[in-house]
Amino acid sequence: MNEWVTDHVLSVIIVLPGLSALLMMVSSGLISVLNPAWSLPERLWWWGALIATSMVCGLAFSELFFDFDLEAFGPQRVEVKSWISVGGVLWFVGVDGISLFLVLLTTVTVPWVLIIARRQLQRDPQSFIACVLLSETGILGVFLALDAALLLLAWQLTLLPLFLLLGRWGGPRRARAAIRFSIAWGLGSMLILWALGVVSTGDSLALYGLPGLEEVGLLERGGFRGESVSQGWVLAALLLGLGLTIPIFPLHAWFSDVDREAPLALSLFLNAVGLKIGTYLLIRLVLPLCPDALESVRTELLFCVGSVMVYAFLLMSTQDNFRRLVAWWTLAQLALISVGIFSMEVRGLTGAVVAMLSHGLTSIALFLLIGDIFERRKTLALSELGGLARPMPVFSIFLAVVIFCAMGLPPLIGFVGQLMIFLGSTSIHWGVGSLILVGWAIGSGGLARFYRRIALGPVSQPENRGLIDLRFRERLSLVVMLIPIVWIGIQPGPLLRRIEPSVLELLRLVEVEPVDSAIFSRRDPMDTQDHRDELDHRRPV
Amino acid sequence: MMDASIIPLRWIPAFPLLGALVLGVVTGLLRRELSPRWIGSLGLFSAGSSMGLVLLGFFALLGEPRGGALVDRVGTWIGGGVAPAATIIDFTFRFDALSAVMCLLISAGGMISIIYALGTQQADQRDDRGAQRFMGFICISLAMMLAVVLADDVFFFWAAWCGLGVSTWWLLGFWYADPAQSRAASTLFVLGRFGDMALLAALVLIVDAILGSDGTFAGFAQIQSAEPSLIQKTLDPVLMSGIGEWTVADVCVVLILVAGVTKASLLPLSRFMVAGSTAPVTALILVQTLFTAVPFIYLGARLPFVFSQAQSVLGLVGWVGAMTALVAAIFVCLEKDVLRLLAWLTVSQLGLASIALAAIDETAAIFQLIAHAVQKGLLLMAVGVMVSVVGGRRDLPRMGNLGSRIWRTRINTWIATLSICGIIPLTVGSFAIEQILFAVASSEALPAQDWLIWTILVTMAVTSFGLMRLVYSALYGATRIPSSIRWSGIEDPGPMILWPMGILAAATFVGSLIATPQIWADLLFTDVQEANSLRFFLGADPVELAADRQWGLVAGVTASSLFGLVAGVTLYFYRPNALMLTISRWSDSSSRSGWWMARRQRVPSHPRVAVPTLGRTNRLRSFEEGFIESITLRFGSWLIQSVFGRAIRRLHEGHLVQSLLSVAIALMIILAYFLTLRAD
Repeated sequence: MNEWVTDHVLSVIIVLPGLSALLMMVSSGLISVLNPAWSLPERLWWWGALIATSMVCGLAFSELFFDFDLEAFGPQRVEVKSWISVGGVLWFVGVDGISLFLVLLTTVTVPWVLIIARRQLQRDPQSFIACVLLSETGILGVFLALDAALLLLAWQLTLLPLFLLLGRWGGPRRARAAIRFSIAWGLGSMLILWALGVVSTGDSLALYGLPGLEEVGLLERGGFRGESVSQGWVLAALLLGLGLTIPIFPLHAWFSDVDREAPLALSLFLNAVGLKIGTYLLIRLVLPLCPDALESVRTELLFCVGSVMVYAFLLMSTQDNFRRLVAWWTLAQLALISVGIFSMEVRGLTGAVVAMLSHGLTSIALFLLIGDIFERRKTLALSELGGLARPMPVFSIFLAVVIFCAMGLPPLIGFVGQLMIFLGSTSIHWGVGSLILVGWAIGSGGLARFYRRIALGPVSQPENRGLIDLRFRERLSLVVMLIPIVWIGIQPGPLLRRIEPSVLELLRLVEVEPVDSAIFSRRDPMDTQDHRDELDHRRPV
Repeated sequence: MMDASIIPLRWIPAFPLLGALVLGVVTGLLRRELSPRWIGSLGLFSAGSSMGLVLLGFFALLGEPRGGALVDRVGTWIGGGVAPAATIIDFTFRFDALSAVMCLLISAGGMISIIYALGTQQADQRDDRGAQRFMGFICISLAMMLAVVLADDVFFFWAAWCGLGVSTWWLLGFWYADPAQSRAASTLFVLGRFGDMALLAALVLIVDAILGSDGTFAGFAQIQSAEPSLIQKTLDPVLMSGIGEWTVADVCVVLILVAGVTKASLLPLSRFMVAGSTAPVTALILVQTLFTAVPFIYLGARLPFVFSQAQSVLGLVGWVGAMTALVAAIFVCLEKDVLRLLAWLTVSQLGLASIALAAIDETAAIFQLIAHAVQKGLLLMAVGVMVSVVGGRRDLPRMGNLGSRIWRTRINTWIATLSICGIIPLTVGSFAIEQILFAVASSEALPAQDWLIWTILVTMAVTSFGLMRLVYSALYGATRIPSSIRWSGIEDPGPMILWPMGILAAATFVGSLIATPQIWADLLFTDVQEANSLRFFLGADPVELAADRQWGLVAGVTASSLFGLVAGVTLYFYRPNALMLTISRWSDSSSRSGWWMARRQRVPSHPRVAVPTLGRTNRLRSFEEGFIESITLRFGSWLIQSVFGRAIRRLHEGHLVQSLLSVAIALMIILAYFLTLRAD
C-alpha cells in the first residue's frame, strides 16, 4: 500500500467518507450547472458511497486491526498537526484498543445503513447518502480524536447530518423528533465543552501529551484538581451531558421520539454506532478526568445505572412492537455498558468495550431482520406477526440466533461482554452483580416471549400464510453479520488481547485504589507486584 | 492424572455437536431434505462415536488409581492474557469417576433415544414435523449435556448449563405450531434462565471464597483440592442483616436449590414440566430422564463439600424434595393424560433424588438418577407405544385392554412399574429407593429424619397406587378405544422400538448390580467385600447404618409399596365399583362442590362401559393450575404488564413537557446530591 496512506491512515479513514460525499455533491452541482436537466445518476451515488465506505472498512481492518501492535499500551498510529491556530486546535488522532473496535464497528455499519436505505428510501437519496457519509466522518473523528477540541468539532459535525436525516426522512412528527434530538445532543456537547474548558489550564486541549513535548495531556494528569471548581462539578457536567447523549434514564425521553420517527436505516445507524459516542466518552473523558469524584460515588452510580438496566429490560418485556422492543433493549444494553465502565475494573471495562461491539453487531442483524419483515408485511406490531416459523423458517432461524445473542447466551458475542461486566461489577459490590443477574434473566424472559410471539405458535393472520421466506441475498447478508457474532463468541481472544492493554493503561492513568471486596476480604487483581513489574516493563517509555 | 492425548475428551461433546451442525446447516440454510436413512446414520454415528470415546475413557480410568482423571485442555476461551485476570473461562475437559458415570448414562441414554426416535418419527404426520430438525435438536442437546458433565472450569460448566436450557427449549418446543406446547417450552426456558442466574451467583461465591477473585482459571478440581473450609466464611453482616448469620455455603446451597428447582421442576414449579409434556415422546424421554434430572444432581455430587458445610439449610433442600415427591405422586393418581401422568412421576422421582442430595449421599442421588433414567425411559417408551396405537390419544379413559394386543409392551410396562414401585429386589428402582432411605436414616445433618422417612414411604405407596391405575386403565379391563381405530390393527411396534425397550428392560435388572446394598449382597452372594461398586468407583464412604435398621427400612418400603399396589389391584382389577360406590356416597352426602369427587366417565362410543377414575376436581385444578401458576407466573406477568406495560410506558410516549421534566428532575437530583450529601 502507498506509504503516505499507511502513514496517514487514520486521517484517510476519517476524511474519506466525507470527502467522497463532497466530491459527489460538487460533481452533481457542476453537472446541474452545465444543464439543469442533468444530474449525477442515482445509481452512481449509491455505488460511489458503497465503494467509499467499503474502502474505509477494508482500510480499517487491514491497517488497524491486523497491524495492531499488541505490545503497545497507549495510542498508536498517532498523527499530530496544528490545525486551527487561533483556538489551539490540533489535528491529533490516534487509535488504541478501546477506540479500535468502535472504529471497526462504524466502518462495518455504514455500508449496511446504505444497503437498507437503498431498499426502503423513496425520495432524494442523494442528500441522504451525503448526510450519512458526513456523519460517518464525524463519528470516526470522535472515536479517533486525541484532542478535545477536535473531538467536539467532530461531534458537532455528526449532529447536523443526523438532524437533517431525521428531519427530512423521518415519520409524520419528524420535525419535533429532530428538534428534541438536536437539543439533547447539543446540550450534551455544550456541557462537555464547559467541563473541558474548566479542566483545561493552557492553550491546548490535547488529551495526551504531544510527542516530543514535555507537557502532559489532559488525561495524563491523574484527574483534574482545580481550585475553583471541584472535580465533582466537572463530573456532574460530564455525566449530565453524556447521560443526555447515551441516553440514560431519566434523560432518555428524546430517544423515544427519534426511535418512532426515524427511518429504519437511521435507527440502525443511531443504535449501532451513534449512541456509542456517549459510552465511549464515558471511558475516554470521565474516567481519567474525574477519577477521585467518580470513585467516591462509584457504588451509588453503579446501583443507579444497574437499576436503570433492570427497568429498561422490564419495559422491553412489555413492548408489542418489534422496533420499540429493540429500542428498549438498546437502552438496557447501554445501561449495562455504563455499569461496566463505572466499575473502573479491568474486567468490567474490557467487558464494556466488548458489549459495545456486541450491541452494534447484534443491532445490525436485528435491523436487517426488521427490514426483511417490514418489507413483506408493512407492519412491525407483534400481534400481526404470529407464527412466522411456518411460512418463513429461515427467517425464524436467523432471528433465533440473533435473539440468543441479545439474551447473552453462549457461545455468542453477547455472552462474553455480559459475563465480564458481571464479574467486574460483582467485585465492586455484590448488589450490583445481583442487579445484573436480575436484568439478564428478565431480558432473556422478555426476548424469549417476543420470539415465541413472533415465530412460534399457529400462523396468527391470514396475510402471514403466503409470506415468502428470505431470499438468497438476504440470507447472505445475515450470514455475513452472524459470522462475527458467532466467531467472536467462540474466540474472543484476539479482541481481548487488543482491548486489555488499553484498559490497563487507562486504569493506570486513573490510579484507582485497590478494590476491597464487598463480600469478603480478598486480594486485588491489580495488587500483584509481579504483574505490575511486568506491565511496567512492557510499557513504552 | 493421565494425559488425554490417547482419548481426546473434546471429541465426546464435539461429535454430537458436529452432527447437529451438519443437520442444522442442511435444514436451516440449504433447505434440503435428507432421507431417513441419512438422518439416522448421522445421528447414530455422532452419538455412537461419542459413546465409543466415553467407553474408551472409562476403561482407561479403570486402570488409574482412585481419584485419577483424564484432562484435555483445549485452550483459553475468554481471556486476553494481558490483564491479571488473564483467563476467565478455560476450555478444559475433565474425565473423572463422576464424569465417567454421567457420560455413560447420557451417551447410552442418547443412543437408545435416537434409535427409538428413528422408529417413531415416521409416524409423525403433523405439519410442523421435521425428522432432521428433530435429530439436530437431539444431537445438540446431547452435546450440551456432555459438556456440562465434562467441563472442568466452573464458568465453562455454567455456559454449557445455559446451552442445555436452550436446547431443552428447542426439544420440548419441537412442534412449534402448537401454541400450548411452544408456550410451555418457552416458559420452562425463561424460568430456567432465572435458575441459571442463581447458579452463576452461587459459582461466583464459591470461587470467590475458595480461590479469591483474581478471575484466573477456576476448575472444579482446583476448588476441591483447595481448602473447602473457606466456604464456611460468614457473609458480610450488612449484606445479610436481618436474616441471621449466613455462611457462603448456606447461601450457595440455597442458590443451587433455586437453580435445581427451575431446572428439575421441583415444587413450586413442577407444573411447568407437566405442561410441556405434549412434546414428542423421544423428547420427553431425553428431557425427563436426562436433561432436567442430571444437571442438578450432578452439581450436588460435584460439590458435596458445599452441601456438607451448609447444614442449616439442608433441611430446606430435603423438604423441598420430599414435598415435591409426595405432591407429584398424588397427581400421578389423578391425572388422566398418560404423558402428563408420567411427567408428574418424573417430578416425584426427582424429588426423591433431591432428598438423597440433602442427606449428602451423592452416590444414592446418582443411582436414583440412573434408576430413573432406565425405568422411566422404559415406561415412557411403553406409554409412547400405547399412545401411538390409539391414534395419538393420551386419555386413559380412551384406552383399556390394550395389553391383550400389545403383550410385549405390557411385559415392559410391568417391569418398569414394579421397578419404580421398588417391590422386587434386584431391580434398579428397589435398590435406589432403599439407598435413599439408608442415606436419610444415617445422615447426621438432616433434621426431622423420621418425618422424611415417613414421607418417602407414603410417597412410595401413593406412587404404586397411581402406577397400578395406569396399568389397569391402559392395559386391562374393557376396551374403550374410539371406534375409528381398528382393533385388529393394534399390535406391538417393530424392532426399532422393541429393541430399545428390551435393552432398558434388561438394564432394569442388570443395572441393579452396580449399586447393590451390602445387606442384599451378604444375603444373596458370598464373600462380597464391596457390593456397591458405584460407591466404590466414585470414592464415596460406605453407609454407616446398622444392618437391622437397614432391613427395617427395606421392610418399610416394601410394605408401603405393596400397600399401594394391593390397593390399586383391589380397586381397579377386582372391585372397580367399590371405589366408585364409596366415594360417590361420600361425595353425595358431604359436598356437591366436587372436592375429591369421583365420577364415572361415560365413553360415547361405548355407553355401557364406565371407567373408574378419580376425577381431578375443581379445587385441585385450582391448586395446580390456578394457585401455583398464579403465584409464580401470572402475578409476575400481570405486574410487569400493568406497571411497566401500561402506566410507565405511557410516560415514555414522549411529550416535550415530560421530557423537559425528566431532565429537570435529573438535574435537581444531581445538584441536590452534590450540594447536600457530598458536602457532608
